Amino acid sequence: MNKNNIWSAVLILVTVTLTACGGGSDSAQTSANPSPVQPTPTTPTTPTTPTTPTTPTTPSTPTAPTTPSTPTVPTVPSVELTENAAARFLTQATFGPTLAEIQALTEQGFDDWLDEQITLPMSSHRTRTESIFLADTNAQEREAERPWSGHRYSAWLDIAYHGEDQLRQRVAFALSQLFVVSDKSMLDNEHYALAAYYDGLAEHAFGSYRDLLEYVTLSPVMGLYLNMLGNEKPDLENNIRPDENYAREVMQLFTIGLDELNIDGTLKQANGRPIPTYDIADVKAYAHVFTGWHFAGTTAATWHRWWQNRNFFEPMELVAEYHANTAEQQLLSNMTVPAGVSGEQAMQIALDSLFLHPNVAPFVAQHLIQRLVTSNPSPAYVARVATVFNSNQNGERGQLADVVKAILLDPEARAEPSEQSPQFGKIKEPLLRGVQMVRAFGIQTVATLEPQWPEYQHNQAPLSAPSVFNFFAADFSPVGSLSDANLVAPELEIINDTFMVRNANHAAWWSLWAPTVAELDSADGRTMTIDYSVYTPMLATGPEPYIDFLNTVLLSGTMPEEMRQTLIDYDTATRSWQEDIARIKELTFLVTSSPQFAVQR
Amino acid sequence: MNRRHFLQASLAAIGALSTSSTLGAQLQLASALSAARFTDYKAIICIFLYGGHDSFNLVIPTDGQQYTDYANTRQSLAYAQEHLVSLSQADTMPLGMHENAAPLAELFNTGQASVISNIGPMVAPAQKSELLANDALLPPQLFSHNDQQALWQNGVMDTGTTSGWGGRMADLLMDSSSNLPLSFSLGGTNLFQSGRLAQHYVMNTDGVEQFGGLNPEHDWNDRRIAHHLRILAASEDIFSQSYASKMTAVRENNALLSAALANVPDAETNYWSDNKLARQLKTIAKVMSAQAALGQNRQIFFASLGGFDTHDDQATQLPLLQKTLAEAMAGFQADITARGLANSAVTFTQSEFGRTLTSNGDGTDHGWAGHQIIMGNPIQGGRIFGHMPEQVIGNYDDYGDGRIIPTTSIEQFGSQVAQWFGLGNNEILDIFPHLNRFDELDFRIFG
Repeated sequence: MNKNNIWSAVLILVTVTLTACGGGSDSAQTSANPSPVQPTPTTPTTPTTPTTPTTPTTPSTPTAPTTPSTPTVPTVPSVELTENAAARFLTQATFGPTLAEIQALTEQGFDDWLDEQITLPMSSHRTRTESIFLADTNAQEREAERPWSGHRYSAWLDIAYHGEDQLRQRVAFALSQLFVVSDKSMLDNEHYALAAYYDGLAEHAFGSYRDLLEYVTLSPVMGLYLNMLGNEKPDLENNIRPDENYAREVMQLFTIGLDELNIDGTLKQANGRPIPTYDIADVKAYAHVFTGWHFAGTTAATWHRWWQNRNFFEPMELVAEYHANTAEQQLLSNMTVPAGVSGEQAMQIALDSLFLHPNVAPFVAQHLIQRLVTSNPSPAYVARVATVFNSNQNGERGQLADVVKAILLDPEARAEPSEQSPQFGKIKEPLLRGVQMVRAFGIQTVATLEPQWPEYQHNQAPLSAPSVFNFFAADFSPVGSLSDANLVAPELEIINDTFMVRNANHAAWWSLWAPTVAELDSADGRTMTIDYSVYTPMLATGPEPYIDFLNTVLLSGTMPEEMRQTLIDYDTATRSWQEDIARIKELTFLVTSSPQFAVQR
Repeated sequence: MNRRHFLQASLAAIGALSTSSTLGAQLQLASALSAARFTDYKAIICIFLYGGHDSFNLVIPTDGQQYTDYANTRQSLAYAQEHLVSLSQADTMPLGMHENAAPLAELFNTGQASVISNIGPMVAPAQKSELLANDALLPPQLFSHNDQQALWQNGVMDTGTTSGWGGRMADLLMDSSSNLPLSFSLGGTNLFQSGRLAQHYVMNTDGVEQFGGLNPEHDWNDRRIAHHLRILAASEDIFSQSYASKMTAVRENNALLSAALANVPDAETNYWSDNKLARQLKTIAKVMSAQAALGQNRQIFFASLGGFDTHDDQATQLPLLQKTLAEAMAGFQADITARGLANSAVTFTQSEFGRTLTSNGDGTDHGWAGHQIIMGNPIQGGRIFGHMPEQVIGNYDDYGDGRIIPTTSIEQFGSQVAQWFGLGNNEILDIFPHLNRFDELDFRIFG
């Protein structure tokens, strides 16, 4: 196909550029290396009108298994994957498609791609935060002792832009919005600790949910954030009782939620009312179990001198003297902590009682589906994923790798646009939209990455939610057509009037105003850009090939015909006096600032 | 979903409407009629204290047995007597505030502020024994942050409700000929200002955010903007359409608001400190100053301050938070007084819950009732409205561990605000459909 010919030409150009700066990021490209390939004014001798159909010609489904409860059943698509189908998958499973990934995925197929991703080595936020911090001359001149938030955010962005372990990192970001800790708290100067916590989420992203729950519960970072660290047994004489914060939020937010659920995520009812999963007595019981934990190495003697034991990189440890174990505690799932058992044993029983609760599967399934695929999944979709959570092909419970596969390979996730229900899809998280834009073209940077503060543009930064309730509520529904249709769009809670504008301005900076590669200069603070010059050859026969490229890599092929025509008209009206590079940038901006790019379907 | 459920219930309550689109039409009609019905200007400002304010440690007994009870109950979290500033009032026991909140005490003592005492979400009036016996009398998801925030903001005591009582007031008052909301938030998207139709415009503390590549003030952007608008119109699915219509509204509203604010001066009065809440309130005062230019004779504002979830380190953190709150509120009142707007504005706090009177060692947990501050010239200042609990564990009003049962409901309070704002009795019943479960209050907050 003509389109593919042009694309593979561009792909070569882009790939060359990327390998020059991308993977090895520590010694990223310097400005001395200009755009590596002179855009040879290739008049492609094939002017065969590139009127590539906007609707992919072969939507002959690469569809996922119809019985997703057994996700390992090889579903090797017998039909070739279209680029658009690959891009749509990568929009859900990574920080955004690139031409190279699209190409690789179409050759590899979903299953092999997933299996490969699951085994890739993990990028470390802690290591990356450290290297960015140490390389930051400004921070060093100010004799900063510890990294700032901007160093950690920059590490996160770098890994999102360049990390090979895209699926793991994307799932980790979803988990960081379930097991929320935030630097808007006493942790505001603990960015190594926060980065390490994040690494722990990534490490467990394809493991067992039970292990993940234990990791989070015993993390001193979570311990400090939700006050289990240093939580003491009761002292009734002084009106002191155990802190209830972790006990409450681990149930409400991390495992089972407020009301009993059917396996498809819908509410169970009794006498026309939802059935609460727990009451204040349950909160108190778990609060008692969660006493006696402190930084590793703490003893009864040093319990109140915690700064002597300050250690954010190992799990909390029990100090028996501060643990409440004189009374039996009745927990959920009909489990009991008998009086007198050790604090460690009590903790195991408590975590089991939550992990075994029937709500966990639909609760976690719903969260991950909403973060990766669609805001309003059908109950059947939730049920299929929850079923895999409850028991994978080996009969194991809570295996996240299988849950992630079930989410991404589900027929609802994989349906072609023509087969999707009108409510399928979601508003992209603004931070992810920003990253997707940059990834699509490849970022060019000078030698060292600077601290970055994405919250200004996106109202969102990793591990920086306003509270444990995350950046937005999962059931947020804005006044208007969405709420009239009973649909939720959680991300719109933070894309308010101010951030509608800032998101558009972010797109404008990266598409219209970012410096050329030759202008990169860390002394001037011009440290990042996109090299649009590699795309100018695509204009040789008109704007259509580049528009089609944008359609695939940014919109997964969902560009409405009228939008495509608008782009062609705009280029036609301005091409006589615009340089090619400006034409590329203008087209890029109109797409990256569009509502269509704000949505994934 | 719950929302639909509620909507139907509330529609049944107010009479004849059956679908949300007829509701829309009726509200549009009502607001077209009501837009011109006021000649005066009024504004309400809601300051939401996120996390659950330990307000039983804001308004504190200063003397005698009541102070002793307080000190015994609160233990290491009790403020020492010598750090308390007295409130001049005759409504109840001698009371004071921590010296960090002195600007707030000063407002109280000069008749510019009062306390709504022991207020919180209530399904119906009920005694402790009834509440312990019947869960149906408990507000849904009691003690949960986000749910109790929702109840305070929606005024309906149903966690599935997607409109707030400020928003429902705006539904009845908004000018249907303008897309500019009469509600402005400096505290982000919120339920309080969300109506069935009415939206709120979310500003940043610097004012109106300006477009760059789509900036309409530069004519070299014209062609780009024209094509951008065509792309907005080309949205095909419900998510992009929703995004596009919001984008269109933002474009229009930015232009209106920027023009109206262009000539409004910054505050010339002392805000004590440039804290996060003060910065929000400064911008609110400027938008109030622009009300005539905007053609708005009713405005609803929302600001917020977080950090009140003091499970740990409360003895250090809470006085700092109360200082921030007090200084910002006093600064705002001085600002709008200097602008000649003080007779038109009422400011009040909300917070999802008070906190336990018992401690967990160095902090407190989620409680139920609390106190709220109301400020402004239109109110009776220097008053303690409602019942002031003694701070005793296991008392008749303790639901457990010092989670105090409220004696004034959000609806009872809100209905007086709505009445002052100029809404009629039937309209108030539309805004607070469960108001009739409660007796009329035996106090009048306003004039």
